[in-house]
Amino acid sequence: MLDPLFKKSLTDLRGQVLGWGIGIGFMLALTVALYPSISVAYADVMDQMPEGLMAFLGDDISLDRLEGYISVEFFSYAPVIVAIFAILAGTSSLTGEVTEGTMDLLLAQPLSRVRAATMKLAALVAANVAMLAIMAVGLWVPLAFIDVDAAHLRIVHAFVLLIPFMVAVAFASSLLAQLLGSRMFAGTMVAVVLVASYILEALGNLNSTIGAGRPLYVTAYYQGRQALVSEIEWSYLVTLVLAVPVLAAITVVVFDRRDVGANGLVRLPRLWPKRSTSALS
Amino acid sequence: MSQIPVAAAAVNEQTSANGAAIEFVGLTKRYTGDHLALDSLTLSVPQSSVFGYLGPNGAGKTTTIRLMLDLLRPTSGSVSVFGVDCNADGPAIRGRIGYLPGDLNLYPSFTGESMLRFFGALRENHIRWDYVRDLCGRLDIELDRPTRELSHGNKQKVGIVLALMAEPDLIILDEPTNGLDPLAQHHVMEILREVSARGSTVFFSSHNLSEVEGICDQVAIIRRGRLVAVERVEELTSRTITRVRMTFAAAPAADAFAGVGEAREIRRSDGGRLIELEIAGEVDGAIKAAARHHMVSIETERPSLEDTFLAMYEEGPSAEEGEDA
Repeated sequence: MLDPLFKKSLTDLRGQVLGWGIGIGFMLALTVALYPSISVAYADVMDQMPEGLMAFLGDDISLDRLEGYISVEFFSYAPVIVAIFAILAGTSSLTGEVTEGTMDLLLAQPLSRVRAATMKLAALVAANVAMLAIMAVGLWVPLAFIDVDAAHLRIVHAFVLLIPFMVAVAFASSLLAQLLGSRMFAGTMVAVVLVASYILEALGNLNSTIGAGRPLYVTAYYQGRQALVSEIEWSYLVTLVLAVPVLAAITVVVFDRRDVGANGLVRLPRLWPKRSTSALS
Repeated sequence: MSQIPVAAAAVNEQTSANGAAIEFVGLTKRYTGDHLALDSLTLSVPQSSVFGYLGPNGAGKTTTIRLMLDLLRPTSGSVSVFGVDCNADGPAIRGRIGYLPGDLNLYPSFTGESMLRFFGALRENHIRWDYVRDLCGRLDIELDRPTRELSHGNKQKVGIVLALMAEPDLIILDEPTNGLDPLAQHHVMEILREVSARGSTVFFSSHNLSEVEGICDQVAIIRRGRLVAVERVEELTSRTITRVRMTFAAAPAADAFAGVGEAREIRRSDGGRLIELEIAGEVDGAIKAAARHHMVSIETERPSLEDTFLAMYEEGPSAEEGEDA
């Protein structure tokens, strides 16, 4: 029998899971369905593409195969797109319940904070997996109707590798929201880091100095593109997989030790002066 | 609500050695930014009593309650419930506690019934659902509507049932009648008397003096995070100030109420015909003094607890007392 808090937390996310899963799944279905008709034209485009742009997109582009096509058309930017879902879900899980004022009632029940946090994080994992599963349906349904050779196992890998990436982003967002005491601020910070990483990782293909910083770029740890068109870099994947339990443990420990309902644990410096209230005094 | 079998009760029957339900020992809470919300609170709440915890806004009432529930961690000192430190074994202690927050927030998409079922499931269904149905009936709760559609008072009723549904040994209520109509307030007080008679301890935070008088055995008064007094309710009542406004056909003499017990004339207007008195304790002497004159009308006003504080301690609330910490 499912833990009631896990079930409730997962149910809270069902609208987001369905919305994002169906939306991105539909986009994927359309992308795959168009492949047979545009694959020939794509080959011509590739022949005429400037070397710099080719490098920006990555060295392993092979648009004459479906894997190469969806690698460029979807999985190249997938980590940033699906991370938005992970950020929203992550920031709303624990801090959301605190800011909405329902955490007091929840933690007044005979359950430990560790169990509460663990169930919330477990629901985040399940929601991310469910969202990816819905997306995957969007990719495979049109494949049943078009005559294209596809390396199904590589595509499965690309999807499966999104799971630790999304979960790590969700956990990091949840942790940061607790530390800062603000869902919006935490979500914005994670999103900025992701977009900056994505841009720097792409520019790293053009510039060796920027490329040398690749281990610092968060999006580099998603190895889905490599799984589709080349080989996985195991050091990145292992680091990502190890990051998930570490982030989960830190999130649970921070939640267990903090004052519930108080401000964030990190006090940020004020960037602009407090608005004057002299008119009221 | 469908019938759910009663699960075997598995509550911890441990109690404190001195028979106290709650014991605060030097409990102090200092928030980030150096705000001292609670200062060395030492207090013992007897078992099976109805204990009022009173104080103006920002006095530290909610902080005390949140420390008891382990939602906040003390800066120093300790609080134990039934002899067990709240920090050491929170889940076991909270299994014996029912809690109504002062600022109650329910899951907006849940109906009243799904709220009760969810929190019942968190307590592993150690719930007598017949009792819950009875409570819902007495408070006239709409169980089938999402809580976001309920009025403040109806949400409060759901919160009260959530606090009482597990028939806990200790019930902590932060402003329980806030937003309730007089009839619902009456029912809530009646229910609390019943649960107290069955042996549960009720820890009750309120601003409402008449409510406190009606139900509490003993009260603690807190101000600016410090315990000011712990008194029997009768003692507090005897120190309560009553305001009386009397209109006479002709102005009584200037010293008409001089030396009448604890009465103090605070205002005289309309050519001396309208007199306002503040009376500490019994009003008998003042009424007898007034009866010597032709009285046209009389109005009495029971002051708020805040007014009582002002009279008792003869100083106004501090500017530091902003939000209810």
